[in-house]
Amino acid sequence: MIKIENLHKYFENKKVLNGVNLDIEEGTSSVIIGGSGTGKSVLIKCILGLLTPEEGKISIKNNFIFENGKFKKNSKIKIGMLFQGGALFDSLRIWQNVSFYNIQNGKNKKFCFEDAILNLEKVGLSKDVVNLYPSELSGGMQKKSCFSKGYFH
Amino acid sequence: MIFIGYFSLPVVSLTSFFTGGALALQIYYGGNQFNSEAIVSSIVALGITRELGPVLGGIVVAGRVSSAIAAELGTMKVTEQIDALKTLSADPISYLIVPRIISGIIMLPILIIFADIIGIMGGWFIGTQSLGFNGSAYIQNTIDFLEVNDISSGLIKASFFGFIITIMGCYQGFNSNGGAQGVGKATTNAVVSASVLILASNYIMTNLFFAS
Repeated sequence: MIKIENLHKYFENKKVLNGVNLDIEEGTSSVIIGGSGTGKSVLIKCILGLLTPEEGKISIKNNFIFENGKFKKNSKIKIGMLFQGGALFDSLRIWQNVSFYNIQNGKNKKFCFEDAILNLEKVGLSKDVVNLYPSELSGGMQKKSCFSKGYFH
Repeated sequence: MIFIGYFSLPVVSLTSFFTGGALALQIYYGGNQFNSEAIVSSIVALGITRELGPVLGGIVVAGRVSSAIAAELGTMKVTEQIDALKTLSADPISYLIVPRIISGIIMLPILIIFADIIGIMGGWFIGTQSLGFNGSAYIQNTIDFLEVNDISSGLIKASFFGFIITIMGCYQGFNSNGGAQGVGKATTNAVVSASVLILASNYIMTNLFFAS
């Protein structure tokens, strides 16, 4: 589960998160709704460790990854993220994007390639796209590839 | 390494060749034209290996490579690709920055070895074709005059310039923000800061190597 206590985040003088408390139970789906610029993305980026909050606590599966104003060193946060703009790596082929985590962790190339095909099929993409670069795909196909990259690592 | 080294070779070679030729002409017409064969060859060799090869090569590579690195990393930053790297447990510093810096430090001295040779050949070409020097005597004078220290000091400078070029490209790219305009600004800043730092550090290193 993800537990957030009294989370604060400022950008210069603008207070974006002001004492956020949130519990998300394992196996449940939650939706965060709000107007533009109200801090939805900021909250998610704080949970992922991409932004550092000013104060508060964040714990994942009962391990505090953020407390006393800093993230714990070497705290591996294994959370998939589908970025708004896709964030596929331009210089890598689709299969390398989808299997990026496995490639980085030393899995062999054949396994990574086949795993990418399998994961792309799960999101409705055929194996014709595996050797293409992101710029060669349509917007929708890029989003699906990005989902596959974020979800199946 | 291929991008920084191999693909920079044509532009560095051309720069060095024409600089060597122009230097030979300046020394010939600016100095005593009698018995100038030994003077032209030795000053061209010294000027190219100690100063002009590494500095002009460094500035040309800064324009080519530093801007490309800043644009690439800047685009990755504004399209959240660097954030995506972090969520996949990849350290952007070791994945994106360290390989580029190592490439710069290794490839610049190799490029400058070529720049030195081609620059001296530029002087030789103008000397033999325009100024009527004897080709083999020109080469012999160059070999007799040059010392290992002249070449090695230039290569040490080149290695440091390689570090400056890549670190400025990475720094500006990594700290860019604000979309396409921000990437453009980062690219310009990378080239300007790398060029100025190359010139300033060249003065400091020349002082360190040769002042005593």
